[in-house]
Amino acid sequence: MSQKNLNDELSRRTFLKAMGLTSAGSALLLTGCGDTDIVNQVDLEVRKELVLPAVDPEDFVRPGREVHYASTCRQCPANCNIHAKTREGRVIKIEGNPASSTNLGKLCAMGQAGLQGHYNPDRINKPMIRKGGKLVEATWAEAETLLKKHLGKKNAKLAWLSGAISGHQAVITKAYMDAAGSKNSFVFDTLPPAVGLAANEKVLGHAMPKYDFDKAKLIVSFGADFLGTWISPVQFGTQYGQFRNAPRGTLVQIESKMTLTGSNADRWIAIKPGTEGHLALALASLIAADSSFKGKTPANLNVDIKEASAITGVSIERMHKLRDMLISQSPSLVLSGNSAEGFVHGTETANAIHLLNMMLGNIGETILPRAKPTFPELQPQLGGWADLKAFIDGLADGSFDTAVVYGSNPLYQAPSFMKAEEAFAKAKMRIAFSTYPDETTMACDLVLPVHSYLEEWNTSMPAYAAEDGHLNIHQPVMNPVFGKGSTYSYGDIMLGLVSELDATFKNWDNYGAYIRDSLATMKPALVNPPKATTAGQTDEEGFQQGILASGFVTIKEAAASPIKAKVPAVRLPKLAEDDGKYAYHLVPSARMGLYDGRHANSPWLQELPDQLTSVMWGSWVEIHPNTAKKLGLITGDKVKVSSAAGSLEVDVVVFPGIQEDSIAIPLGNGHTEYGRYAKGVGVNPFKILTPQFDEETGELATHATKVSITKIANRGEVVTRAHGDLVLASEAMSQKGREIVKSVSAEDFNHNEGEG
Amino acid sequence: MSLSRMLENWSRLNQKDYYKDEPIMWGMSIDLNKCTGCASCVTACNAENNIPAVGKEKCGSGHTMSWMRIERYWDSPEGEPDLAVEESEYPERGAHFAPMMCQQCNHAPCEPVCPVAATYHNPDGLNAQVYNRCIGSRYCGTNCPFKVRYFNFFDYQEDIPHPMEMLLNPDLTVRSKGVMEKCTFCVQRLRNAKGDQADKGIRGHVEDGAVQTACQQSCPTDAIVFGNLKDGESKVSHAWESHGVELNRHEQFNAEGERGYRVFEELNVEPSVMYLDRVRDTNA
Amino acid sequence: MSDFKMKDIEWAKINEDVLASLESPRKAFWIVLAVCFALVLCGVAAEIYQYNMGLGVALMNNPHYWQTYISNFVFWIGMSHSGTLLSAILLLTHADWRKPIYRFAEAMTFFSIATAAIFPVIHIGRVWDMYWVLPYPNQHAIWPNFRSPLLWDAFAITTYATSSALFLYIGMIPDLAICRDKAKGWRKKLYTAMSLGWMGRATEWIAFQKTYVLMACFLVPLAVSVHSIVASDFAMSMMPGWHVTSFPPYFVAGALYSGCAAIITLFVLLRYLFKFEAYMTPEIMDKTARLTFAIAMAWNFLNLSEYASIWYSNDMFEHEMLIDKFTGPYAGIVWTMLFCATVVPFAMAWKKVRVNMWAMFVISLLIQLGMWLERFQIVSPPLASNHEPWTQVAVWPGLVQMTITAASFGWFTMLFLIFCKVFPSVSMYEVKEMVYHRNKHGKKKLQDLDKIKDDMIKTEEGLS
Repeated sequence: MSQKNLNDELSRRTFLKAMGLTSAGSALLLTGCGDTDIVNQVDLEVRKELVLPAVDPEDFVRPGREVHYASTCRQCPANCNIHAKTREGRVIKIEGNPASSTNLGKLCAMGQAGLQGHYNPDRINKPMIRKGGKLVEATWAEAETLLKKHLGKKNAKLAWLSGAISGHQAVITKAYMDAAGSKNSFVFDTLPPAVGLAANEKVLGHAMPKYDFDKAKLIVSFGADFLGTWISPVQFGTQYGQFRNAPRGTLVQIESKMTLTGSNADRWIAIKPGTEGHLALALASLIAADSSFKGKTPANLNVDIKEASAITGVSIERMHKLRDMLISQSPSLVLSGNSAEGFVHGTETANAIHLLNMMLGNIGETILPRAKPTFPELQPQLGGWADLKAFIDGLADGSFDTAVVYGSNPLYQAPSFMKAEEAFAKAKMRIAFSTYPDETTMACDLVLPVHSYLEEWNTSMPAYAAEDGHLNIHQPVMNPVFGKGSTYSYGDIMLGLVSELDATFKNWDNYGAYIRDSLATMKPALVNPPKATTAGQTDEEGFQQGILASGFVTIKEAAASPIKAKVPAVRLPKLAEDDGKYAYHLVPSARMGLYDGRHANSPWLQELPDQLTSVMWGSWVEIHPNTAKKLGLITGDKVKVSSAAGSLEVDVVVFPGIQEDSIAIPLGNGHTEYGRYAKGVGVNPFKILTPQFDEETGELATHATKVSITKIANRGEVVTRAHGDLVLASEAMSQKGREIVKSVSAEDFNHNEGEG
Repeated sequence: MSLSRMLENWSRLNQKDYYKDEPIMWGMSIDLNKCTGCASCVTACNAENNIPAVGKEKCGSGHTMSWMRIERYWDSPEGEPDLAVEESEYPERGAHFAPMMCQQCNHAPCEPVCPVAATYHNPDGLNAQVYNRCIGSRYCGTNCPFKVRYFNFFDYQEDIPHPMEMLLNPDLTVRSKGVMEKCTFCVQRLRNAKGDQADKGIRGHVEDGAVQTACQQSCPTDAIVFGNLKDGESKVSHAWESHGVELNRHEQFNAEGERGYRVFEELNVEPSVMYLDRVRDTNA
Repeated sequence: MSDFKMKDIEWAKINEDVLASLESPRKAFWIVLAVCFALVLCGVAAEIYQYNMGLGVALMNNPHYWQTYISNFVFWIGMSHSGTLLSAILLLTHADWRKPIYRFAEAMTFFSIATAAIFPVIHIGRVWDMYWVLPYPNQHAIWPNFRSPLLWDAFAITTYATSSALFLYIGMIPDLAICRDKAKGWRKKLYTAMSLGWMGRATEWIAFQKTYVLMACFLVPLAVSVHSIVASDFAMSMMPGWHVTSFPPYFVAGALYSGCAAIITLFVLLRYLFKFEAYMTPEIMDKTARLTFAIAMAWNFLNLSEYASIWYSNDMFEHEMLIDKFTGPYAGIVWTMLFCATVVPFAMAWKKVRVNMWAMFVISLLIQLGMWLERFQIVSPPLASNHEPWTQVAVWPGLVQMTITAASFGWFTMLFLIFCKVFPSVSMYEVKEMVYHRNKHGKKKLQDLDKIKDDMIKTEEGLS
């Protein structure tokens, strides 16, 4: 029992509040605490992995036998459930948890590469304090004193920035901020579609409805890269697998740069960037003209199709074809993704797409409602650029004096026009809870090395829950890589801080105990809580062991009420004429692999060829063959890409899957810090974004920047692969007549494979 | 080193389909209708099989080691007119992805050419590579039509910075400089599974699904199916059967609607990996 | 013709001239030797670097697992065929013009094998385990793989190296005895040991002649088989462009071709360096050039028929490989090769060219360049247009490979020059024979023939 006796003064209400369970309802009963010492007690023999502990192996270590621990991946906000395979006390492989509804035992490349984050040689393993302008290593005692000095007090000018956050981590952070009397809590994560989620909230009543891909006969996706980086790629990937079974659904992807999802589409339609809303509205108007939709459509839908075709670059025949498909292949599912929403009129575009869904009757069919969460504090907060802007603006104008950053890297992500470095420098005290020496961490005054996600206790909620109330459990799957006392869990540090200010939290020695207590407290609110399985085990022990074995729990949720969608009138702006100087649209494209740059320190992911261009290690700019011809460029040439806010030098890749007026630079590289594998590799397209924001939500319009291209260096006549900067896994475009990938038509497929 | 043993092996080699009587024959099926090209299999394979990342410079010299690669093509093979799109500036039918790794050929071109017999066919139908025996003549690599053999041009494992060496899988070796390596169908997992069965007293049979390769395990869309082709109940043998691919035929006669094929079948190398046609909705 | 006929040389003069080559070559000899030695040192440095770092520094990669180390291997093995040709074939066909030049051709054979044998060592990944290709008794009870052409190579090379060394040595014994009689100091000891007590008795001559002809008979089919085996390294594989049935004869013809060219090069070089003008006459050059021309035509026929057989095979992969050869990234190599090896030899149609030492020197160098490129274009372009389009890429040999290639030429020339400095590079007894035969058929009678006969009889009597 790691829990102290309950403080008598403590009311049940505050206790629950401390656990983030305010709305738990009357069903919750306080129950005693079980044996919580089911921690993996393994002493790691660093650098001596060849020596097997032949004599007296520790509990849970059977030499030569693998042990799997259920935990949760935190490589992206999707938070898939994992099984960590350990051998001789070290984790050697991460696999999906087959029981999980989020990822059904599957895991993406980023999840697999979690090992390299965990064992990263550049991980910070000692606290660092800025002394005389330089970050120097310090002892934990020093660091703790400094931390207590700055955070162990009430401070309304404290600003806190986290990456996407959920579960008890969110609870304890909020508890601290409340205790410290600060309202400046910000959440920033680059890729979750903040504009789309806000539009969902408004139109559907829930930011993240459920999608039923399999039920849809047709998916029309406006730039939602649901197989690559959109919200929960593995979840949607598994759904996509079902969707492709006979009778096979059709996927149409409309975007200006082909994403992984686009490359799997039955029809990929290149569209001029920023005109997705126009196309959606044109389609809506075409559908409204169909007699069967009389009365189901809003009144003033009169779009000039010819004009829409000119604006979007999509032919009228194609629009008609799409209209026919949308009408005949019902239910369908129309999605909007980052590249459609990243404009000044992003919300309007999202609304136009909602309108299509509503008209087609997809809402309630393929877009399903979600229950009101039982514990709203545990819900994922995915954040967005608006929060980052508020954080930076607050720092710049001096409203904050202390800045704390956890799980986010604003100095790398923020475009240069935001002047994040300068603003950050203005804070009197900058504190980072960090695993890696990223840009923001290295600009801080106090750096606290925290555990990797494989070393700590936690709970979290997936960004997209396949079933309501899915709560992930994180447990340490091995002892800390750098030994005890080198790194600490974020939760432990926070628990220490918050208990200084809020006595409720003094009840727990450590964060692990807090998590296990919370879960025990939640037991009555869970669906099928585990019971004792072996003789002599109490139910409590059985419960604790059971939830750790399963890796997640499901909270009972009320039945979801049907969605009552209200789509506001869509007002799309007239698009600005091309100004001669910046003729091309810049698409800062995200890809499965480096994601938004957080995985640039994993050599496996750096070396994973980009799925579409097959480039490894570095950045490139994708240019359509026709545009390249016009500009006299070939793959391997170096160009300067300039916007009104700055410029980048980058290698050209001539790539057919990009709209002619657009160029795409992938996200992920261009780090100035972040360890040996990331530092100095490639460029970061976010840096040259121009200050444009979505009018409704204030989110940064990430896809609205226009740029010019000038050639600065020839690839040269003869480039050996060793000497070219651009590293391609292969330049092959064509199968050259070989039957490596053969194709058949969906008609034949459906006809022949029926239900199989 | 007895002559009789050599002659015995020799006669076994010359016997046609000597593997016919073995109870296990590992095989795979990859459905290109479902494969999205996301490459999670590639990373899963890297993690499972101690495959090093070689760094930018060595990637530039073409020294990558990943046993699995996703090939991406923009065109269809000739003679598929029904999927051709009307003239367009863009690849409107998307890309063609093919996960490519050692096809565990049953008439493997790499096997006869190795001067020291470091690569041989094991009774489970695997094209096994014996790292200890390999002297690095690289003949197997040049003779492989799939080009899926990877040579340790450097001592990559020696350069792993601490603590990254801790992620190495102790079930298989790290390969040293001068040795050829390739996909093994996660042979360490297969052996463990067989060992587990042997513990229960069962030999020559592994229950379907009891063992998964790392790539199969991670594939979000379940495009990869792996198992024992000799086991009539296994998913993979069902897949082979229902898609009209048979061992021992270097020209498959797909019946109407059977999508199976093996890459470079015309070379008569008898791969153990079957691919299923990619599907596109031509009405879209 | 008469201008170029070998002048009658007195027997004593022959000994003198040849033995002089062991003592006082031109200054250029030392310069060439120094350059070669420097090249060898560079090559050793490159190999040490490659050995320590790993083969990756040679910039080979996935489809290009074989590159110049293999093409050099084939080139040098090919080169070795010249000696066999001149010595053995011409011996068996009684072409007596071979006599002044066959010794160095035989030496070439041996040294080019010695050079070729280095390349597998440089090429393979784990040199320290190289002996595993030999079927030696071992604890693991493992046999090597007898199906592998590389294993055949190992056998073929060792056999060929041993036989050609023996052939060279046996043919040299009578001359070594002459050297022994004249030499002083360490040379005396060396020649005494190596001449095996040769006294020039009639019985010795009879045994010698028999052995020598027997060796020649053995060596001719061996040489053909060795290069056929080297050809099967390629022909037995299934790479498009390698899997060619006509490769064995094509390789043998190519070997003879480059070997002849090398003989011409060294002919001119030795003639100049060791002042052998009297022995290596334009007449012999003329004959060698004619032979080279004939072989060139045979090689060209086989080369063109290879293209034709690929073209008419109607195999997709082979077709693509052939087209890529002429238009792809290695097209420059292929066209240069065709120029050097197909067009250049036609210059030898003119007699003026054939008897011009320096013209022949240049032509021979061009042909050798062509033949080296031929080996490169056998190895690399097919790998660059292999079955699997995803891996198709052109890779050029890096600095390490090129340094080692250059060093192999240095190494060969160095060994060869040292040989010429230590051993008689012109066969004294065969030249004497030739002079004797010619004079016998001519009008003039050799004055001291009877005297020599008497001497011989006396010596033999005295000995017995």
